[in-house]
Amino acid sequence: MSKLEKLSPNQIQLMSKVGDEWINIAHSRKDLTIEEIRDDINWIYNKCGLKSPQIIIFDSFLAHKVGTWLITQSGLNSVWNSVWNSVWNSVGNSVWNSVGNSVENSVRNSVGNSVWNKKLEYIEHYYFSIWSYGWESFYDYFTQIGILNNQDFNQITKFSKKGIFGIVYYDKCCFVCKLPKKILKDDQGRLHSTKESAVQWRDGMNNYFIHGVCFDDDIWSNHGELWRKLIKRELPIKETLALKNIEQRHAAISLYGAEQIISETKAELVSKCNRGYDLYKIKDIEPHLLKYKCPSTGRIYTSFTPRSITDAKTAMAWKYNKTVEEWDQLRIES
Amino acid sequence: METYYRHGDLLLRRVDTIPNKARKTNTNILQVGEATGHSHKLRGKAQIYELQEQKYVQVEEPTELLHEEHKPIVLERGTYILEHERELDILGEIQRVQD
Repeated sequence: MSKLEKLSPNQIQLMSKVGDEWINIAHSRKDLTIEEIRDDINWIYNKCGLKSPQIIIFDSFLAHKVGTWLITQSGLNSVWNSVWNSVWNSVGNSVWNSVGNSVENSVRNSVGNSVWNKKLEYIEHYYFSIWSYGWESFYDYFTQIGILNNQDFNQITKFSKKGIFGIVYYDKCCFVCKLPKKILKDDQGRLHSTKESAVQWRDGMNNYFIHGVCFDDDIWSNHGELWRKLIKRELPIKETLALKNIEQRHAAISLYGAEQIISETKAELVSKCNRGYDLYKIKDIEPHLLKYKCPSTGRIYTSFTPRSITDAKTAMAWKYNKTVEEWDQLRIES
Repeated sequence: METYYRHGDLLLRRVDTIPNKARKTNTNILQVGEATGHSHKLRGKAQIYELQEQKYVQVEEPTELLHEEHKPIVLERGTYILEHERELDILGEIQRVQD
C-alpha cells in the first residue's frame, strides 16, 4: 500500500479541529465518577491479562501523587508498561507504515504538539503526571481521516475523552485524578489570572499563574503570597528586579511595566545598542541593569550585569561569557 | 571561526569532539524551565550526551531545536556544547539564569 504523502485541504482543516477538541477536553473542568470509568479501566486491565483493580479517584494532582505514593508503599507494582505495550506497538506501526514523513511531521506539529503546548503543561511537567493527550490526539487524527482503525486505541481514546487529568496503573489498584474545577487563561491561551488562582482543584488546592508563569510558593503550603503581592503591586520594585527566576521577573515586570520600573527607580541610561539592549545604572544598586528583548517572542527581560561593563552589547555578551567579537558571530538567534 | 546558536537562555557552540567520558542520555530534552514547564527539545537525528553537569549534542542530520514559545532553529550536522546564560544577583554575585 502506498504511503499518504500529502494531506487534502479537508484533512488539513481537520488538524486544528482535532487539536481543539482535545484541548477543550483538557480544559473542560469536567467532573468524574467511578461509575463512568469503571468499565473502561476493567477493560484495560483485562486486556493486559490482569484482574479488575480497585479504582481510587483523587480531586487534585497533589492528592493523586501523595495518595498513590502512600498506597503503593504496601508493595504494589506498576503495570504501566503492560498497558502501554498492549496498544502502542500496533498503533504506532499502523501509522508509520501508512504515512510519509512530511505528513507525519505536519500532523505532529499541528495536532500533537499544539495540544501538548496548550494543556496544563506546567503542572504536567512539575508533578510528573503521565497525561497522554498529546500523543493520543496525534493518533486520533489518523483515526479520523481513516488511516488508523485500531479498536484498542479507539477504546482508550473514548476513555481519555471522559476527562482524565492523570492516571497510574498498579497491579491491584488504579489511581485516577480528576480535571481541575476551574482553569483561567489569558488571550494567548496561557494559564493566567490576576484576580484569583488560575487553576482551582476540587479539594481546595490552587495554582497561581501570570501569563503562563507559575507563582506557586511551594507544594505544601501554597497560598500564592508572591502572586498576591505582585497583583496588588505590593512587591517593592527592587525586590521585583531581584526575583531569582527570570521568567517570574519577566512576568512581574510586564505586570508593572518596564518603563514604569525604569522611571520609578530613576534609572539612568548608560548605553544603548541597536540590537535592542539597553544598559541602566540604578541608584543604590551596585550592578547595572540590562534590559533586552527576546528576538522571537518580543518579551522584555532584565538582568543585572557587572558595573565595570558600560557598553550594552558587551554586557549582553558577558551574560553568555562571550566577548563582543564572539557575540557578533552568533549565527542564529531565537 | 566559532559558530554559535542562541535559543532563549541556551547557547550552543560548535566544538570538535565530545569528551570520551560523556555518557549518552535517553532524552531529547536539553532543558526544562521551572516556572513554565516549557522545554528546549531536539527533533531529528541527534544525541544528547552528559558529563557531570555539562551537556553536549551530536547532530547527525540537520535537527530542529524546539520550544513552546521561542521559534524553532535548525542545528546543522556537527558537535555542540551547551552553554548557559548568566547574570548577577542584586548584590553582584554571579548566578546561572533560572527560568
